[in-house]
Order: sequence, then C-alpha cells, then structure tokens
Amino acid sequence: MRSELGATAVGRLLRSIAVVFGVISIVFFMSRGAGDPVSRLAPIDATQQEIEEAKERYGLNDPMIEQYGRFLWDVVRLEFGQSFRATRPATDVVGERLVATIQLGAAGLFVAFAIGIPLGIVAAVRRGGATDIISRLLALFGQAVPNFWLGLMLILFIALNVDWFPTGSRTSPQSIILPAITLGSFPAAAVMRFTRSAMLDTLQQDYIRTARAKGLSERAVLFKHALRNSMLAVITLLGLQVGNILSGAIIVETVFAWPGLGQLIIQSIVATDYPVVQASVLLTSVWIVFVNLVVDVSYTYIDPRIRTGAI
Amino acid sequence: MTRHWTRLHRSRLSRRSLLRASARAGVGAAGLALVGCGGDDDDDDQPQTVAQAQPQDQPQQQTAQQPQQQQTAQQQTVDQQEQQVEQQAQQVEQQEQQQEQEELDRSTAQQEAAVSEVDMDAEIIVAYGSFPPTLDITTAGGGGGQGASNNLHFAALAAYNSGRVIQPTGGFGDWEFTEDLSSFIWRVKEGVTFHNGEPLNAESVQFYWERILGRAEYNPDFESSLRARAGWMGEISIVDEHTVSIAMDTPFVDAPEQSGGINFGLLPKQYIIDNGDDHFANNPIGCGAYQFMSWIPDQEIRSQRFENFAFDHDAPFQWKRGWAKYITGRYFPEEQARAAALEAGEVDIAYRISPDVASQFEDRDDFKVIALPDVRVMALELPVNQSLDPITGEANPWRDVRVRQAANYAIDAQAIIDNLLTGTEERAYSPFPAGYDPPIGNLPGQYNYDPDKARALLEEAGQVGFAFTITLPTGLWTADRIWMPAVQQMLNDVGFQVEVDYADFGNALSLIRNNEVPNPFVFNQAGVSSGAPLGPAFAYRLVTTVGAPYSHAQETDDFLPEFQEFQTLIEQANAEFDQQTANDLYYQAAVISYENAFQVPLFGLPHLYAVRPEILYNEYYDTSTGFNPIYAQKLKT
Amino acid sequence: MSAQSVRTDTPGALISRRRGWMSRLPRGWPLLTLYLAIIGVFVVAGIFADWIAPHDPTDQTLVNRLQGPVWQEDGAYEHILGTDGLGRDTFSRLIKGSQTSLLVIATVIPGSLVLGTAVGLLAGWRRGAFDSFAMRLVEVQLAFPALLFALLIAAMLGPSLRNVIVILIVFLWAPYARLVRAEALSLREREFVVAARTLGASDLRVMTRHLLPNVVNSVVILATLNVSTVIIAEASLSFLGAGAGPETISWGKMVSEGRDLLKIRFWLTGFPGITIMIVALVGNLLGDWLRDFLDPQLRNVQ
Repeated sequence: MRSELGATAVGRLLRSIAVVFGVISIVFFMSRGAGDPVSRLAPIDATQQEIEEAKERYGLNDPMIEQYGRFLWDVVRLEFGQSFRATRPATDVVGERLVATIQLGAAGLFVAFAIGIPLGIVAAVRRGGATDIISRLLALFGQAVPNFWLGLMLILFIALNVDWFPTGSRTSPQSIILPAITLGSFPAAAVMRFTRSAMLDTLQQDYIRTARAKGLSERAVLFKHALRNSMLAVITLLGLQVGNILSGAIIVETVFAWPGLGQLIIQSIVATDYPVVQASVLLTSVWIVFVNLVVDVSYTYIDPRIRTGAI
Repeated sequence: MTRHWTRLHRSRLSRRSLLRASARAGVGAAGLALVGCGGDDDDDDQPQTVAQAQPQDQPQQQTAQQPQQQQTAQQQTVDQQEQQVEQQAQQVEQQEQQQEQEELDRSTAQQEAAVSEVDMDAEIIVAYGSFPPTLDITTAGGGGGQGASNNLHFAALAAYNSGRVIQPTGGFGDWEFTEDLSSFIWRVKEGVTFHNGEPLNAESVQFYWERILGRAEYNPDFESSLRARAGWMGEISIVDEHTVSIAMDTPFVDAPEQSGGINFGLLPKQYIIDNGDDHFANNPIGCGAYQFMSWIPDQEIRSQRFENFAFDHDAPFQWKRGWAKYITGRYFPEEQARAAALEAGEVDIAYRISPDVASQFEDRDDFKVIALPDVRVMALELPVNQSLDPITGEANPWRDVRVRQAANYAIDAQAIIDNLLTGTEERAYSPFPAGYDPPIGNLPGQYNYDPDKARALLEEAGQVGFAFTITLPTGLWTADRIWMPAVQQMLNDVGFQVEVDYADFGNALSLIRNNEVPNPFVFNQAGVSSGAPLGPAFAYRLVTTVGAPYSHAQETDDFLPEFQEFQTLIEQANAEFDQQTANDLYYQAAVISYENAFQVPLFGLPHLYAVRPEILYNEYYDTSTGFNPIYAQKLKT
Repeated sequence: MSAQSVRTDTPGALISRRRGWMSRLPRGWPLLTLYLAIIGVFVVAGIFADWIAPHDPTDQTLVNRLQGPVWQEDGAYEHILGTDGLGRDTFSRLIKGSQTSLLVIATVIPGSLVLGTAVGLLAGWRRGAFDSFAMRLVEVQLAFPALLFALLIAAMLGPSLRNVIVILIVFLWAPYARLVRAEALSLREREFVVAARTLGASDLRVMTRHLLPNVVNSVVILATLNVSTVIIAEASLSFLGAGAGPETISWGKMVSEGRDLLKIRFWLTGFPGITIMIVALVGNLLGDWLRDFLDPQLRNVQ
C-alpha cells in the first residue's frame, strides 16, 4: 500500500516536471515576443552600433532555436544568467524578492484560511442562524470587492488616519497587515463558501445520518466524519488558491508598494528583462505545481476510493 | 535669489490666459500672433542667474524686440479692441506681479531667517518612483532611478553652472583642450578623498575611464553602458599626479561632457580592484556629498552626509555639501502610493508627481509643491522626407508645408497647460526650452492657436480628413495620458482624423529607433542626461536630423530642399568648437525648422515634487535628474 | 461530494405540488426580484449604453474637469456623478463600462464552462491518455498565474479586450475541468453508474445521462461564482494596464485612472469600485439563490 503510494508520487513528480517544462517553454517564447530588451536598456542616446554590440553580447542575434536550447540547458543548471537590468545573477534578484512575496502570500493565505474555515464550519452547522447570515454576508462582500479597490480603500480610510498603519512599503512589521488583509479577503470568502457548502453536502449524507442514529456525539459526527470528508473540497481549493495568491500579490504589491516578486515581475516585463522573468516564472510555477502535487497526493489519501483505483 | 521656482505660478497664469481667452473669443483669430508674443513688462527684479527660472518672462522679452520684423500684414490688422483687452491683461498682470513680488520678498526673508534653523541632524526621506538596479554609477545606465543613488554618492569632474553649462574651472577637475586639439586635459582638484579615505588623483581618473572602456587590467570584461560615450578616447596618459591627458583622433567638441559629465562619477581605484565589481555595485564608494550606508534592492537606500566633502554649502556650482545628516530613499513605483506615503507623513518628499496629484498638495498649510523646470520640450515629430506615405502608398501629405502648419495652428498648447497641467509649463516654439543663452528657444510665436486658419490651410492643401496615427510612448513623461487626448481632439476639430497609439515606452522607443514608426510620434527633444557645453545641440542629436536615433529622416530619403539646408546647418554646428558660433548656427537651423514646421512643438514639462512644509529647496541645477536631495534642507520643528 | 443519486424529480415537479399562484413563486422571490432587477439594469445599461448615456463618454470638456458629483459643492446636474481628469462624464462612462463587463461575462462564462465541463467529463470518465494529457494541461494553467500570463500577452500584443476574453477563457476552463473530473471520478465508482455501464450504455450516454446531471449543480455554482471572478479579473487586468485597450472604457481602468487623486477626488475611484462590487455581489447572491433552488435536498432541510 505504502510503496504503491510512493510509486504514484514519483509518477506525479515526473509529470509535474513536465508541467514545469511546459510553463517555462511558454514563457521563453512569450517573453522573446515581448520586445527587444537592448533598445530599452541602452541609454537613450546610444548609437545603433552600440546596440548591435549589446545584442551580440547577450546572444540575441542567434537563431531562436539555439537560444531556446541554451535556455533549457541553463534551466537544468538553475542558471538564468545576468539580469539585464540589474547586471547581477537573475536568481539573486528573484531570491531577494521571493522572501517578501512568501511573507505576504503566507500572511494572505493565513488570513484566508483562519477566517474562512471556522466561519464556514460554523455557518454550516448553525445553518440559518445569525452567524451563518453574518458570515455569508461577509463572504459575499469579500468575493465582490476587487482587491485593488479594497487596498485603496484601506489606505484611504485606515492608513491615512491611523498612524500605526503605514500606507505601503515594507519598512516595519505592521506594514504587512493591510496588504495581507487585502490579499486574503477574496480567498477567505471563497474558503468560507466552499467549506460551508462542503460541510452542508456532507451533513446530508446517509452515513452522517447513520452516525447520528448510532448515537455518536454531535462533536464526533462533525469532526470525525463530516469535517474529514468536507476537507476534500477545501483542499482542492487550497491548490487553486496558491496560484491565485500570486495573481493577487501582483496587484496588492502594486497598490501597497510591497517590494515582492509580483512587483518585480511587472518591472521585468516592462523592462523585457528575460532572465528575471524566466527565473521568477519558473520559481512560481514550481511552487504552484508543488502545492498541487501535495494536494493531489493528499486527495488520494483522504478519498480511499481514488487510491484503490488504478492510477 | 534663486528661489523663484519654489512657487507655482498657477493663479497668475490662468488669470492672464482667461483674459486672453476672452479676447480671442471676442475678436476672432486675426490678432492671435500678438497674444503669444505680446510685450511683457519687466518682472526682472530677480537677477537672471538662472535662465530657466523665469519661464514666463524670457520669451516675451525676446519677442518684444522683434515684433516689427516679425509682424506680418495679418498681424497688423489687429483690432483696437483686442489691443485694449491685451493691455488690460497686462495691467492685471503687473498688479499681480507686484503682489507676487511682495509675497516673494516676504517668503525669501522668511526662508533666509530660517536657514539658521536648518536641522543638520535631520533625516530626509524621499519617496522615489524609480530605483536604480545597481549602485555602481557606470552600470546603472538606463535603468532609471539615478536620483536615489548616483547624485548622492558620486561626483564627476565637471562643474556646471545652474544654467546647465559645463564650466572649465571650479569643479573636481579643470579642463582644457590643447592648442592643436589633439588631446584633452583634465587637472584634478588636490586634497580630495573618497568616502573610504582613498585619495582622488590622476590614477583614479585614468582608472575609471579605462574601466568603462574595458581597458583596465583587473577586469577587462567589465561592461558599462557608458562605453559608447567614452569611445572617442584615445590613449589616456598620466601627466603628473593630478593631470590626465586624453588623446583625440579627431577633435571632439563634447570631450568635457563625455569624460567629466554627470554620468561619469569618479571611482576609487584601489577599492574596486580589492573588492571586485560585484561588491562595488552593492557597496558604492564615491566622492559625492553623501556616503552610502545600506540598501535593500528596490526597497530602500540609506546614505549619510560625507563630512570630508570637498566643497561647502555655498560652492558656486552643483557640487555642494549636504544639509541633512541622513537621506533615505524609498521605492514607491506607483504615484498613488507615493502620494499616500507623503500624506500619511511617512516620507518628506514625493518625487516626480503628476499635475493632478500636485494639485492635491497645493494650497495647503501642511504641504507644498516644488516645480522644477525641465530642459525638454515635447513635440510631435512629422515624417517630412518620405515622398510617399509609407502607410497608404500615396503622396505624403506631410510634405505640404500647409498641412504641417495646420497641425501647428490646431493645437492650443496654452489651454492644455492652463487646464490640464500645472500652468507653469512653457509653451514651446522650437525644440529648445526657453532660456538658453542666446535664447535659442524663443522664436516668435507665429503658430499660436488658430483653428480657423488651420482649417483653411488644410482645405487649401486639399487634405481635409487626412487620417494618421500618432505614436505616444507612455509611462515616462508627465501626464502623458492627460494631455494627449486633448491634442488629439484639437487636431480632429480642424479636420484631421487622428488616432493615438499609446505605446509602452520601451517598445515605442525601440520601434522608433528601428524606423518602424512611419507615422508621426511624440518625443521629448532634449531628453538627454547631459548638458554638454552646447546644451541645445542635443535636441538635434536625438531627433529630426538625419541619422539621429529617434528621427524620421534617413540617408536614403527624398529630402525637402529646406530640410537639406537645415541638416547642413546642424552638421556645421555639431562640429563647431566656438560656442557662440555653434549657437548661432543652431539658431538659424531652428528658424528653418520652425518656419517649415518640421515638427509641432508643444510645451516643456516641469518636474513636480510635493514636500512637507519644513523642507526647503533653494538650489536648482539643470540636470535630467531634477530635484537633488543634497540641496534640500529640513527645518527644525 | 454532492451525492444526488436519489434525484429523480425535477424542480418543476416540486413546485407543481404546491397550490395557488403565490406558492408557485420560488422561495425567496422578493429578494430574487431585487437581484434580477439589478442585473436587469446592468444588462440593459450594457446593451443600450449608447442610447442611455447622457453624454458621449469619450467627450472631453477640459473646463469642466474634475467636477464633483451633484451633491457636492462643485457638482452640477449636467454631470450627476461628476467628471474625470479630462472632463468626461463619470455617469456615462460607468454606463459604457457596463457594456465592457457584460461583453466579457457573456463570452467568458459560457466559453469556459462548456470547454471545461466537456474536458472534465471526458477525462474523468475515459481516464487513460486523454485524462493524463488534459490534466497536465490543466496543471500547466493552474501553475501559471493568469495575471502573469495576461501581463506577458499585453506586453507582447498590447492591451485589448479581445485578448482579455481569450485569456480568461483559457484560464477559467481549467477549474471546471478539474472540478468536473474530480466529481466524475467519484461518480464512476457509484452503483448507479456501474450499473449503467454493466447494462451496456454507451460512453456518451453515461456521460450525458448519468454523469452530467450529477455535476450540473457544482458547475452552475462555480459558474455563478465566476460571474464575480470574471468581472473582477477584467477590472484587475485593466487596473494594471493589461486589460481593455485605450479605446475601451472599463470600470477597472476608471479606478486606476482615479486612484492618484484618491484623497481629493474619492468618487473617481469610488463610483466604479462600488459598481463593480454591486454587480459582483448580486451575481454571487443570485448564485446562492440558484444553488438553494437547484438542490432540493438542501432546500428540504430548511
């Protein structure tokens, strides 16, 4: 049983690598299509000859397929070359920003799950009660407010009035609070809704009735049976949210001047700094693929029917 | 005395323009030329040490001397009525100016009194919209954000006066050309040390050029975007401990700027050799007014006043001792975030903001707005040298001077300035900003807003409904998405059919460079980070002329005869060592360019900065980086 | 998850058991009417924007720029909700902006739903190579932040509404496919499906008759959730400058254009922001209601 699970995991890992390969190939060709980096980076009054020299230096005059081959080999060695903009290794540039984004992303996910799951459970259990109505209302608003707008409102109404909250940047520990709330609001609502409906679904199941009929305590019914089965849906959601968090972070970092990966990616796309775009996309996609892998595996673990199936 | 620009002239300008607008409406178009160049009174109690500091006054002064030659028959038919209104406008203006002068005197007195209360231990926090990718001045290149690091940590050899003219003496170095123009000599100031105590001498100067050129032994592979600028340098030899000589194959007019100009920051030789380029890019040492303390890339740069700085607060040129003890730069790429940070009191200065954002800090006790003139002029570049329209394949309508003039008459740049921008911008009549000496930017204003005339010209040329696209590189120039729609609408109002392509700045730049933008595009005409001894020269090195990187004109084109004439003058001027003669040639070229309407000059855009009230800013040096926190003083509160 | 193995009756059958016309109305009809009214306003405004808008939304009057809404001192009835930085009428721009949102919703939701459900059903039922391939595709997309993709596309091709629609379909089909596949995987082990299969039902028949009805609810819930997702995604892209092109009026772009003046001209960001919120909110409420209505099991519990 265990080794079977292990083999499955290896298989999944291989496929995950294929996924990452697909992603970076897309990024390679897309970023090459995005424009000519040298013209942007050269001083405004650089001569044509100077630009040609720079292109030659970066190997941009070689055939695309040759550039692609070189790129893949670089990726294997985790070598993304020098950032065109910062003239430092792209991995360093990305690494510096990654910390900030992981902080923000983790804080955002924390907000999402810390609010979403308990509210979702309570709402489902006390269906129709005041808690249910209030948390559903909150969720409704959470999913309806665009996070860039929420961020602006938090700046306008909170940061500009309460000195303790900075308007942006990453200079003090409390800097992360408003961005994390902004980032977490949308997934929190999604988590809450999903948890609630999954719980309600589960509570309708015959085996829950059976469990109740057997005279199990409500607590045992909830936590042992209902919650465990509802988590299947919630975990699927977690996998999806990890990807969403990065999209959210790009916006939130823009609004709050948070010096993270999202901001870097926007900057690098604008500056056609390929090495940095490639390194950061690879990194984020590896991250997302990894989380999805974990989700997939735990899926199998939670729902034994899938495990017994021939996968 | 040089505090003029710290105040906005908004109220005065808009009242004047209102009066004039009513004159226009009442009288019609005939007398418009006079409106633009109408003789102004003397507002010149202020010594004119800084040419750019008197934006409104110079053009009018210049043109006041010329109206007789310039007035066409049409202009002489100006209604009495219009003249009255104009006089009235001038009276109002005089009164306003008097009041303003009084205010100014008061505020000057206040400021001078305040100097004694400058907080020498203060920390000034600046919110920047762009940050340097590296802290090595030789590689920071086109990465932007020079203001946050280069200006503070590095100093170059040359001294500029506040009019952006490079000075042969008085900086970190004094320069001269040898008699036969075969070499160029820098004599380095003695007794100067870098932040780490290393002395500045001929060797360090030689080293930093050789490093840029890839000739330095420690790392011949070093790459710098400055290499091309130093390409003219032949052998660099040390004459004595403080003198360096650069051999020139052909005499190079721009040698002082292209070796000691603002981009060429002096570097400590031994420090770089010992620690390597990567270390240096993260831990810069220069001999600038502030020394580097720490940085978090794209987040924060902290610097501390350099106490052994070679010059004092009152040095007569741009290198001056800093006031505040610490300067901290923070990175806020979005303007809204910069404004919010200032509003919340987290920073002292919001760097480069748009006119609308500036307006929310104006007229408030707890903030003020500083407007610094820029040396650039926005203009619409027209493709005049292609005989066929590359898009339709038919005869190119832009070859007809009437079409070009119609485009010039169609745009009410002053209304855009007054209503959409801050009101402090200058209406441009040539690619040069007003105020160069001789005032090359002040050609007579014959193309002032006149939609009827524009319509008539367009009809005469048989080009009503002429459809074209304007490419606007967006993202760098102040308020681009605000004024461009107005320009578009004004052109459409007289019978053009204009589409605007709002192109990403970098993309647009590379397309223009590769001559892939056959249609008119907007460019700023002197947008180079160097002044050169011949400031205006740069306008035509970038645009309009044949071979300039951002020009429509190609060697292979079918030149208009007037364009050929223009081109010849520019080429002569570019090679001219005598500044006076060169400027005369540029002026002649500018007149040709203007009369033939090769471009549609719009306006110069100032840089705006919102600051807390305890920040004083009394110096201005006309470099591309604008506001320099070295000169900022924070008062004790 | 949602085990509807016992579901044989349709909602219509349920309703018909009641008596009287009042009782024929679905539960919660007053709220439903309100939602539908708001959606109706949104749809009508979108379709007939050019006739309804009091001003040409692109018409600039520089003299009237940055006017406040009518209830503020500097407001005027001519521009009820004030004007923006170019003197364009905010109200008219909001109306025109609803057209953009409507267009995006009307194309993206059906497009992604159909695509995703079909792929998900096929993958979950057939398994094998197609499943592997489809799921790798889904993973590539889920692993690739949509916004990043959109930014790259915008950098390459320039921002345009068409690109936004294509990008959103390309990204939004994946969650449907994943969800439907997961449910199909669960379902194919169930007795009624196994029974159908052993009785020799064709693949198509199993998928459309047995699987599809049982995933419809989840899909509809996801689709209604997606109404707000799509509106917000389009607005976010436009906010970042990677969405609607310069010629298109979009709520997200309005927020972005107004944000620099947040402190002194709150309404420039306030109105479009609130509009986005209301439409997204009503979309979600409608989805909730629909869920309750479609799922008789849950309904009966109340």
